[in-house]
Amino acid sequence: QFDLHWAIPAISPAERYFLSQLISSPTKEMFKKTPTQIIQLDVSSMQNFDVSGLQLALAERQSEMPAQSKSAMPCVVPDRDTKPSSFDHFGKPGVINPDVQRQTIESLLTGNKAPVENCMMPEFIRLAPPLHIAEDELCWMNPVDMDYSVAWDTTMCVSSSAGVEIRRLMSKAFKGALTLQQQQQLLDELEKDNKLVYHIGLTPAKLPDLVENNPLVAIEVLLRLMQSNQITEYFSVLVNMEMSLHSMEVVNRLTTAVELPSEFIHLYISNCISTCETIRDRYLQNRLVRLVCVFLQSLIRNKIIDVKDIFIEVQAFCIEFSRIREAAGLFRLLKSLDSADPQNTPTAATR
Amino acid sequence: METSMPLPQVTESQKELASQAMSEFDKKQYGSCCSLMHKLIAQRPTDPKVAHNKAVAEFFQSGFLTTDEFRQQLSKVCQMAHVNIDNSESLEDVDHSVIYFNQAVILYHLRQYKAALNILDKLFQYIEPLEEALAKKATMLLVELYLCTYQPEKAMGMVHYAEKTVFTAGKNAGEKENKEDQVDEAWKPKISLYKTRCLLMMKSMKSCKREIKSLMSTQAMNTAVIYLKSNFEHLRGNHKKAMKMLGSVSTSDFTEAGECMPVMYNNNLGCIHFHLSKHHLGAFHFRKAFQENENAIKDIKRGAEHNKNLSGKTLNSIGMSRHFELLYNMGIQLLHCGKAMPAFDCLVEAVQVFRSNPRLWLRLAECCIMANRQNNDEDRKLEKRLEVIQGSDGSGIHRKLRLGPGLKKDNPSPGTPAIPAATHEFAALCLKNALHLLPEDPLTAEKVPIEDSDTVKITPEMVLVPAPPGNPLKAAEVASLRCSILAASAYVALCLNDYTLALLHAENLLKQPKLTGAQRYLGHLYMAEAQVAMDKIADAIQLLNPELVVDISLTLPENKTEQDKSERDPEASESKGYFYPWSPKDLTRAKAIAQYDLATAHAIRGEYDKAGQNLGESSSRIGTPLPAQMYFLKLYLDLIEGRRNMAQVVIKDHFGHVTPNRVEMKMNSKPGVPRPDTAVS
Repeated sequence: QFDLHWAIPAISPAERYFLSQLISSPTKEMFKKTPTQIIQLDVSSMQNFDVSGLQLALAERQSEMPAQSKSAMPCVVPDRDTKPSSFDHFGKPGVINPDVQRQTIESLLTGNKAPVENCMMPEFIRLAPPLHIAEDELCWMNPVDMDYSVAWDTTMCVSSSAGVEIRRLMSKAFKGALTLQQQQQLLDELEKDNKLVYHIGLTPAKLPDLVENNPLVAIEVLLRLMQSNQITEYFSVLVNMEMSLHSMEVVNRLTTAVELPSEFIHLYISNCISTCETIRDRYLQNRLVRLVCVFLQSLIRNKIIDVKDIFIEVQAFCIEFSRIREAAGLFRLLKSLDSADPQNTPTAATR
Repeated sequence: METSMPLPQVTESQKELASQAMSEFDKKQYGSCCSLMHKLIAQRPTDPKVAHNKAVAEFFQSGFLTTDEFRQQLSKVCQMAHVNIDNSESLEDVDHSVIYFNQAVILYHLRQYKAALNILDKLFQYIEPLEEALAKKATMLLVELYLCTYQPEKAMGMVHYAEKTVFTAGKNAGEKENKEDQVDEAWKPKISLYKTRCLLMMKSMKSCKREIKSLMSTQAMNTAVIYLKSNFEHLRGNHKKAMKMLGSVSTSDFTEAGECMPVMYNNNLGCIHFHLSKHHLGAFHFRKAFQENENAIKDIKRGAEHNKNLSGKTLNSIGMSRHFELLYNMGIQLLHCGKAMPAFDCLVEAVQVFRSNPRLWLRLAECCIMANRQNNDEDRKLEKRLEVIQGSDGSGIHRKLRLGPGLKKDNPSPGTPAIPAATHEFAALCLKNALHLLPEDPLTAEKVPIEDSDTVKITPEMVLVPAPPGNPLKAAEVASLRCSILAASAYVALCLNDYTLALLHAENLLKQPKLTGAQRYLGHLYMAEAQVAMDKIADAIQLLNPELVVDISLTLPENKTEQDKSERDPEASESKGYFYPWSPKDLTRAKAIAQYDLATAHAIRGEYDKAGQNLGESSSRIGTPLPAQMYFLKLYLDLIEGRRNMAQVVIKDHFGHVTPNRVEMKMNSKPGVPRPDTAVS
């Protein structure tokens, strides 16, 4: 009833014997025989051959393989003519024609991609995804209604005398302290021309040098730069530069003159405290701690910072350096403010 | 600075000479200006400013034809002034600001926007002390450059800044008068134009509408305004109106800024037709724009023949060619015409210029996909069905049929995938690029522990993703682009037999929060196919349940498409949605395809009864002509179970040309005993 074209057809005992010999241990005797001889062998007399072990191993191996790889079937399917295809064949159905047989075998077995090597297996319909939908993808072109053209330098041969002198002074100021007279000249010139400050070659990177050598000039210049959109860069350089008497002086003066961003002041205080803590030289440390204490007291007294914001940090600092008189003083100031704080409003009200 | 010799004092006569030169320059008398400058430079040969202005005057005198020389002069001036524009951290001296500005202008015209921006950013730190006219020019150019580099938010920020500071009229005139906060009247329209361009790029339509209205009330005849308005209507979906607006402008050939109007006109018409899904008309207009562009360049080149390099073209026309933008538009248009190979050729060139555009990489991949599979109805074509049975050999008792090995073709592409070719290998590469260019998937990012979940996470989503030469992508567009990329990636991985990767992409796709119906459907199919290949057939069978297919729409449901819907005008959405047909078109067919795949999965697992049943049901609904795969599976099921006669019926009915053997029904009653020797003969 069923016609399994893909199954290996039943084989005769002689063939089976030959195969088992071939797979297990072929005897030399075997190779001397012709196919016809082998097929005509009387295998009933041979000792029992057993390929079940082999079959078991095969089944085992196949079970490890994914189902898909076992699903293929041969592509060549027999389709015997039910009616004669030429006069020669009339009345002789099923007769083997050796010529046709040979041709068929050749065309199926030979060639680059021989049909017998093909197989066929169930295949998914794999849908390609739709094209991506974008509402605004193409490049729309709008004319540019502006003419961007090269500019003339209007400052040519204008007021260069003051600029040159000022710049000379500034480059000196980066290297060493200016005389009082020089300082005054510089400040006067800056006073005269509002925009001159932008021409003196002070970049944020050069600010520390100026602060160390000429703190007074630095303060004046920074005050004039307050309008610049680069001022935060100057500030951040100032905060992060090495702590010193001069830098503290500059910051202190700035706090009294303009309103600085509070995060900037906090950062500076933290920087000062950590510098004090990490410094090795005992003498220098004492000196710096005193400086910081005085600086903080002045900030607190002038109400430039809110004590609450830095209370814990400063308190720890005071305790660490309690051996120093100024630290103890700062500590007392903190305590008095802290204890006064809750009753602050009622006392103020009664007064 | 220390090394430089101080300049000699400026004498009164030199001052006089300088101011004369300047007034001649202002009067556009460049010839006399040049001769004055020659006198001045003879007296002050070491003064960089004099050298600079001399170069400027000569450049103007030449009619901007000597760009190369001007650049050389400029770099000499830099040496004289000890300025190193490229390497300096920032501007050291405001005196050098003009040099910076001019350098940026040249770079702008050479379309080196990033480099120009770099220089102007340095200059901008010193914007306050700048002389007013220069400050204005610099801010304008800065805005333009931000727009050129598709950074509309930054451009908008700069416009706002400029409005507040640089362009407030008479800011030095004294603070008492209170009208100072008003923007200088003369600059108002320009600022308004910039704002409109920013808003268009950001696609915030509501504010844009307001801005355009005021523009139209004041300068309705301005070409730039009309084009912006048309662009606006186009973005809102009023394509007819947009087209009308474009038509209302007389197309003179070139604008003052050296732009070729016919190119823009045709290009924009192409864009409009694309959105009207009239792709062939769109392609026609793009082609025309292309020709106009070529012609314009040729004209200029002819003028420049005897000159070297950049010189010979005016500064404005150096960067005029829109070659790559047009290639980009054309490529996308051709893809939507279904012409994968020409589209591929266009886009593969465009991507070399716009390589930061993730969507462009996806389009390239789509070209590759389409080149290998024109559309999903391809399986139904006769030529595909003819592959089911390839022919026969022999005759009489020896006659054999040769079945086809299936539609799937694994032909490894020659060469490496790095060499662009319309292959799946190259597509995989493109998709990888596309995915890398997107910001991190919020889904995978979420796995990292975040403490406050709601407020913070919104911000990274708000960032626009650049997609040059188109407008940058908004968050929703990024999300939908990601889905498309993942779907394409899964598909391509399947085609490359990389099932692990396909599974990964499909899973990732299905996890995305906003999927279209079609994407969810495809995600399931891809995942199932990968699972079958990885021997997880039970899981696949669950996924392929046709009852699960409830929606295959290509767009997200309208009401769900996030908040910017509210920004869009309700009146204005003529036609939106898909521009290219996709099959399956209806739910029935989609279900049938899923069911066919289900049959396949069953067949692979050896459950032939279930496979046959599903195949039968599917074939009745999938629509005719049936896909070739169905014949394959039908023959497979019949042959594997030994129903040779049944198979013969199918073969005779559908592939009658390969066999002379009719199946007579009575043959069924006759016990057809299989003879053992048939298979080996």
